[in-house]
Amino acid sequence: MKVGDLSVSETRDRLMGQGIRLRIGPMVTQLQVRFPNLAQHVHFLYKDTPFIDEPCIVDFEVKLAPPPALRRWFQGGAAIYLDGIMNFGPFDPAIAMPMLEWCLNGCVFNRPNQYLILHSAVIERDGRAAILPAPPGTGKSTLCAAMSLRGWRLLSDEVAMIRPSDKQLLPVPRPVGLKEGSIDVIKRFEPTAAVGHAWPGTRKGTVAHMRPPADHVARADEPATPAWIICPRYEADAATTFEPIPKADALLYVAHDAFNYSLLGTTGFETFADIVDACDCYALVYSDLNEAVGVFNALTPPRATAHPDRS
Amino acid sequence: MDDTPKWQVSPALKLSWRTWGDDTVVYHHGSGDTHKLNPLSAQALRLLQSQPRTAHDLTQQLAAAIGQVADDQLLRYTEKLMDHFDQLGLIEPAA
Repeated sequence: MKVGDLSVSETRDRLMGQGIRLRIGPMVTQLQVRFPNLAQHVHFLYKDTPFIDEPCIVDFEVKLAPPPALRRWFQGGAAIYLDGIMNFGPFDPAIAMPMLEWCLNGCVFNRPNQYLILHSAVIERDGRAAILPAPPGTGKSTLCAAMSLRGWRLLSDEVAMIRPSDKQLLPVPRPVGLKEGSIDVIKRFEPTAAVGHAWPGTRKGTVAHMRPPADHVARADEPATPAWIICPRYEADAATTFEPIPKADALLYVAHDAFNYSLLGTTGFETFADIVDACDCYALVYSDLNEAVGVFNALTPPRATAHPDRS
Repeated sequence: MDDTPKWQVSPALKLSWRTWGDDTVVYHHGSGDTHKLNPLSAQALRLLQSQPRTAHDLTQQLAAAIGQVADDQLLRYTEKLMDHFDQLGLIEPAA
């Protein structure tokens, strides 16, 4: 079943009760929300996301709820508990929904160390994936939202989840976070985009989320093969540039932006080195989304390269 | 007896290497850090991994590798390189 198979009031009842076990890629998150007014937003953003009704192993137990009375009075009326321990907050309930999304990001960033986790957007076409590593504020979520609306499948706007055994990228299709001006940029770019409520007053300004296209969520069990590493950077009024970068630089870049690279030791290095070896690596600077889409659509499969010295 | 200090890559701490063209990337298992090396630096670190060496010995080896004379300029470069490797925890004094 998908969340959209429930009515909003059924969703509310479940979130207020035992919770909904969302299946997002290889992870199961048990989500409880003790603010009834947020059920409609969860229902909207996770409409196409499957959930598991029968008892199962849960990776993360996430509860958005009021904190204890004294802290609520002093600091704010909402908090997020991860596996029973306060993880985010207390904070103003008016920004509870974006805080919940950030917490869910944090779960994927910090917990599943059986995978190599890179801070990156990932999109795919014809089985080949583009990894878009970039720090916050460089426009990667906006870019991957646009690409997902122009024929590329969204694996994630925030995380490249890499399985070391076969170097495959696992989809984690969740709502795409859009900030400030990017919200209207995506609405103008594609008026049918499923952009949810805009939440002002967060530490990143006004934030809204775009629901991933339904068929992308439905293909959450289909991994993709890394083919390109493209480091994007939005610059207002900049001409589009798309330049190759040395593979050694690409490796340093992804190693720096990974969450558990050093933790995984040899496995982390060998996995990234193999992926860099297999990919064509570029830096993209853009200001015009349509031009950026054109760059991606013109990509060709990676060139075969001489095997690197790995002694 | 020559008491000039010898330096080495710690035998207990593995290095993993990848080379693409002139660029070498080395992963240091001890620190979890990754370093990009130019060809001469990579050659120097490989030589220090193969056996303990003094700065003078390493300079001689590097000079032979690049087909130049082991002069004072190359010795100073080598000493600076070894100091840098030491700061990064890549090498240590040999016992």
